[in-house]
Amino acid sequence: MANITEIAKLVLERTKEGRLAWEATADENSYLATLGNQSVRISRSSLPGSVYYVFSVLNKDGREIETLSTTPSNIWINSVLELGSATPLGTINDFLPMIFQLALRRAMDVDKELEELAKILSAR
Amino acid sequence: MLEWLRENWVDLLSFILTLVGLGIAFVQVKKARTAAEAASEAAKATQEALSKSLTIGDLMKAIALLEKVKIHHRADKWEVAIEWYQPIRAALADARAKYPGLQQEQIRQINSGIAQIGIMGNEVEQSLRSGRLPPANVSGIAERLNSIQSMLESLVSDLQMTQSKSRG
Repeated sequence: MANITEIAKLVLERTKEGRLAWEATADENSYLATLGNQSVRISRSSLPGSVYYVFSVLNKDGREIETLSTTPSNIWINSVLELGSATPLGTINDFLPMIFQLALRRAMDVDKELEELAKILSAR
Repeated sequence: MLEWLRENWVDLLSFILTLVGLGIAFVQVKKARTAAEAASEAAKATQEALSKSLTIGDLMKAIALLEKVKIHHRADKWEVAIEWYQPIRAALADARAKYPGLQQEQIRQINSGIAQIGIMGNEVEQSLRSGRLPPANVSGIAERLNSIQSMLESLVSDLQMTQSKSRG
């Protein structure tokens, strides 16, 4: 029987492969990918001085049916992640932030935006 | 041969008549079956057109409710707007359930709309409870509402197009 940790790992793999369509949501620290009848959501929340990440599975009615979260960490995860690297997946404290970063990049089309900006800057 | 015919003509005639009778019966059964199949196909097509119309109706209801929510948001009536999130999700769930001919991608889009509205509802609810209104991400909420509305409008338009094609 599949558990949410395995699901999260698969979501990370499929996201790296560009096979999941992530969308922005009304919560600017939350991204959503819908696959058939279920959706998955990755969110970043903050506590004073630390951040934590929550991965949830939503059913077809949009209700959260299972969640997984990292422990609050004071490490600013952007600076320690190497997205797309071949390093094996570690604990959920490692891969949930990676899902968040990748989901953000896909949903907000970050690569395209940066490319356009680079073109503008180069032309100046 | 003539001798045999003279003695057995009754049997032979009866045999020929039986063959003719069987032929007629076969043709009639075939006609009846074709008519029954045609009637069944027509009933199926009518049922499909009806369920598609119901789904289109539910999607249009959801679009109208989204429009209503947008008006309440613009007027800063968040506590009124929040009452409409659940009916939108219910209309979308009805739309999904009524027409079994929806394609996978169309189902995915409806499910995404349901989930997005749910997240939006939570955001507004939390802001309402903590007394911090309007919610922090007002522009994000408006953007999501518009994007869900566009998606539903294009879904309705696709369904209407396939419906008019099947009529034609």
